[in-house]
Amino acid sequence: MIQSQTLRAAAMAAVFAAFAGAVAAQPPGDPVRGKQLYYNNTCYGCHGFQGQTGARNLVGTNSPIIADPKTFLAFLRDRGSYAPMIPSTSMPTFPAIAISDRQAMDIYAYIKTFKLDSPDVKDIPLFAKIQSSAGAPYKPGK
Amino acid sequence: MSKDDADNGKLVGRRNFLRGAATGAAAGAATIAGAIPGLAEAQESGGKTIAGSGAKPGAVPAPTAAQLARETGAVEPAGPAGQTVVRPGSDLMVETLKQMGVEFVTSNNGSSFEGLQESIVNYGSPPNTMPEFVTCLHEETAVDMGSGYARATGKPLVALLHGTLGLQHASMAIYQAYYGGVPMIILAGRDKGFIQAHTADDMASMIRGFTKWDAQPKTLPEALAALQEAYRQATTAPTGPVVVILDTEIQKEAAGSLQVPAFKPAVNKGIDAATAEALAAKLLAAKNPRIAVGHLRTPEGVKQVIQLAELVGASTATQATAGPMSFPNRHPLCGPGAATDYDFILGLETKAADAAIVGPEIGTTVATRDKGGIGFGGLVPTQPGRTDRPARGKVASEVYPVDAEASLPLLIAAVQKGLTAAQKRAASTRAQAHAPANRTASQAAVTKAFAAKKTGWDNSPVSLFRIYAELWPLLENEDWCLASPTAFSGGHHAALWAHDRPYSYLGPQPAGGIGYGAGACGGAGLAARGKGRFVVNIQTDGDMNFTPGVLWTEAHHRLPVLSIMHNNRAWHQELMFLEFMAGARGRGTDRASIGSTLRDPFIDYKKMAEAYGVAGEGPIEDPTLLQAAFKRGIDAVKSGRPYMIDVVTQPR
Ligand code: HEC
Ligand SMILES: Cc1ncc(C[n+]2csc(CCOP(=O)(O)OP(=O)(O)O)c2C)c(N)n1
Ligand SMILES: [Mg+2]
Repeated sequence: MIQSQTLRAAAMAAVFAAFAGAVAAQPPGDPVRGKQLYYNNTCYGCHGFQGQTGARNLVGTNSPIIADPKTFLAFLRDRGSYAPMIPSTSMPTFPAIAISDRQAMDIYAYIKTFKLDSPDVKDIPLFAKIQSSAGAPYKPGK
Repeated sequence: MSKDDADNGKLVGRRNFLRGAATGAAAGAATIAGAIPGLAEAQESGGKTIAGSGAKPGAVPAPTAAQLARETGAVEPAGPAGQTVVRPGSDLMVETLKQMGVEFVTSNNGSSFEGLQESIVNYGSPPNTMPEFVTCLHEETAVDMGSGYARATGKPLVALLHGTLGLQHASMAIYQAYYGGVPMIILAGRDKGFIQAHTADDMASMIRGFTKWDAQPKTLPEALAALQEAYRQATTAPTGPVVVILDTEIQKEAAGSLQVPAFKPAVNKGIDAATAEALAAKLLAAKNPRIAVGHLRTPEGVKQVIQLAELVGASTATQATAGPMSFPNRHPLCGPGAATDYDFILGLETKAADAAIVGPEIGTTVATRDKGGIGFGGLVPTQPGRTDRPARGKVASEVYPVDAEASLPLLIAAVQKGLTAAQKRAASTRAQAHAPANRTASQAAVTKAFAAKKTGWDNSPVSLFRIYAELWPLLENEDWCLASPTAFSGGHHAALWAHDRPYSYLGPQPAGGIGYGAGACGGAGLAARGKGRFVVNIQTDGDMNFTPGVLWTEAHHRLPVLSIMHNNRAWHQELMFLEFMAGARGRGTDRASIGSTLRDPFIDYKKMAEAYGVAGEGPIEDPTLLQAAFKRGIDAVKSGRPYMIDVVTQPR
């Protein structure tokens, strides 16, 4: 799952990296404002409140799209144009009238604060329990 | 018209009673009506209608004097010449339902079936048992409960509805039951002599296009026969909802010495003996046979398919994580097996096989039912939908279009007859090898699910994967039934939980209609009550708010339903669609929450539950609080009470 996400993201990144060249360098954004924008623009709706759930995780994917702000901005601006090219799901396009460059940088700064903070499976006791339950002798249901 | 007149002339019905009463009560009615604001006017035009003068064609007749008198309680009980009816027709209807084993009548009350309701609650010893009257706050709930119950048991219950109104309130739920091929008996009372707007000449035609069969009997013997035929129709493949319109006069007339005829249950058509032998021979000859199991009709079918798989030592594919009545998914034979070079796959209610027995689908009834040519999508060929994917994998070229469950006894007999000692040993060797392989596969599925979905484990609001994970250790030694659709909450039970009972998971909304889940869980609660079993309901918030009154029904009837809110404070699926639309148009998503979120104010589900008499807690936003809350919830439902836990969640 994560692996195929990474592959797909890499394919997209190739497209956007070229495009990113045309995007002007931006001053760093403000994660506090970014948090509000992430909510107001309902990014959370598909990426989760902490970028860790939903249609696509924004952390732990090694996605080149969020590796640098320029690629991110290029992606935000022109995602829709490439939607048919890549098996598309539903990431919207955000032109400058919807989210300004400055706001986009704020969102970017906020996204970068997301951490992959879920514990390792060995530190989740429920994992071991559910594992052993899956391997337990069959108990016929009634 | 003349037909109806003839019918009524034969019966001493309330219609005639009302006619007489109308004139007599006229003077008194004026006073009564005067006391009720807005009724005086209606009464007048209604009087004209009864008298047969002045009513414009097509005008809605208002209540008559007698009707008004009745509404205000100033009327004698209906009956032939004021006498008590000793053995009313509806008592025999109750006997008929009893005889067929109908456990429940879900209903919101209405005068068009006051006769039948009175018999249910008062007739029989003990009364109100088989069937028990289940009080619903909305007709949609009555039918959704029927779906939940039928999916959990394979048996129909009766949903009893009030005339044109009840049928329309129930209609979407009936539509879904039809799409799902859910067996159910819908009874609608018809009272031609009472409020005209609640009656119609051919009431069933409103829902004919999405029911399997209907009848409008004219006499009591016909009505009893119709109830029996309804049961047979509902439970014969393709199973589905059926309708009987019950005239009020028939419910109330004296039955005299009429007896309920003996009930002949439905006979489902399976494969013939020769086909059974041929298929058995293929299963026995195969080095690595496999049985792919779709959704059978009843728990009995599940039992038999387990027997068949064990006899031949076949690995099995199941749909138990997608809906009821399939192969137990942690059975040692269930899974890919020791090797995947299957040389013969038998499909039972699935075509993903070499040879398949697949009974007729509900869509085959469209030709005779959809006379208006509505052409409901998904039943008749239309364009593929946005989310439809082309079928993948194997599709059987050899298909027997008969009921798979009904085919099992002959198939098992043929296998037993043909099984040589050597084949028996081979089957046992295969089974020995499949077991550890399938166990490993189950464990691998758990590992994979955790790897992909544990992100967000500690998030607040709570991740949906965590809800399913926290629940499993509390469920694994219990008798539970997951009755809510689970696609929106990620369906994580599929990998994490064992689905070892025919009712482990009851499946999605049959036609994608939201509002189904809450009612279906109540119905599954009926199936679970008194059996040491409880229902798990991962309840989305949008769905909860269509017919929340089911919570009261759960409290009132002591239904063991544990509702855990998947409270994302939105009709989130629609929010995502709107976000994409706004994005595609370059207008930004900052207003997509309009009309698609449930905020300002947030809804308090603990209070909602409490208002209906269901204990509850929450909102919980901290995942570390889940375990203790779930334990409290399970204790409550095991004591026979519904319970609500409001969990504020990640959207998906
Ligand atoms: C309607 C759903 C939806 C909304 C709303 C949405 N996204 Fe996305 N997003 C997706 C999907 C699905 C993907 C996966 C790639 C694709 O299909 O474009 C994605 C991909 C991304 C990626 C790339 C992730 C990767 O793995 O490379 C970033 C970054 C991103 N979105 C940021 C945002 C931001 C910021 C917002 C709000 C301004 C937002 N998204 C709103 C659905 C959505
Ligand atoms: C009766 C009905 N009305 C509207 C819809 C359209 N619809 C599809 S999904 C959905 C949102 C459901 O909200 P909820 O039950 O809270 O689930 P969520 O998507 O939030 O997880 C709606 C309204 C529908 N399918 N059925
Ligand atoms: Mg919701």
